[in-house]
Amino acid sequence: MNDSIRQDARAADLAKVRQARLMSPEMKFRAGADLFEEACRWTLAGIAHQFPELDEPTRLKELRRRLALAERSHS
Amino acid sequence: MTGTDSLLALTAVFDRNEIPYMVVGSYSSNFYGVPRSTKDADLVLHLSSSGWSRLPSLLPPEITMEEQMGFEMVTSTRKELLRMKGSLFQIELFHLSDDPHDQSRFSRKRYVEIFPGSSVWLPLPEDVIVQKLRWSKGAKRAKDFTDAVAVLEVQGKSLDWAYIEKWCGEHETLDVLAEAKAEAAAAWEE
Repeated sequence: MNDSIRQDARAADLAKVRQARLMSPEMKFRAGADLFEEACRWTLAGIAHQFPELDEPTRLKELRRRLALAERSHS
Repeated sequence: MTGTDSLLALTAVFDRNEIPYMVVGSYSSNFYGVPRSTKDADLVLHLSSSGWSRLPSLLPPEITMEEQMGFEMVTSTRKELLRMKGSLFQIELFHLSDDPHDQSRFSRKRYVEIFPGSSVWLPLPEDVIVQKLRWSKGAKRAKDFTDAVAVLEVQGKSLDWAYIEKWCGEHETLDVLAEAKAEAAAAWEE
């Protein structure tokens, strides 16, 4: 079971490497911030779904709080 | 305006004003490795004290500089934080330090065309790996190790290994380099 999970994970990693090798310089340069902005849009949608009573500034505040949490847990 | 557009507006200002800089951190590891999400761009700048004082007046209108200066924890390098209006994206400007590897990677930087009409200064992939491994050990940050492995996987056999090993020896990170190489090796056979 664990071997199969490891093999699947490795295959997924190698697919990402193959994809990266095919990307243009512009795509590679823009990808980090584009992925971040997309992730923020999804998280904001999740916050709006979970807390429909919150207004836009309060939703943004909650997003900033979650980003700060992630920053702390990665540093 | 996206975070990357703000970054490119900023580097255009640096180019126009002949301010030496290079884009480091996840932007550089994304460029040479496997892209991942990032909420900030890190740059190293070589500026005099008066140059730093003059900098806020040169910034594009959508970018503001925080008054309080910060410190990066591994090499105690000074840094300034820039915020983009209406965006969570941030840009950190690190002062070029006297650290020997900081000096070396800055002297080896190269001007890379990102798309027609837009180029930025970037470190070489060997220096991205050396720096990421130093951070992964010094700050115990898993994402830096993953970034280093990704650059090793994509760049593979074209890397200058003698250069990487020299600096990893200086930084006492040869052990994490060996781990990273072991993880990356499968991708070199593709």
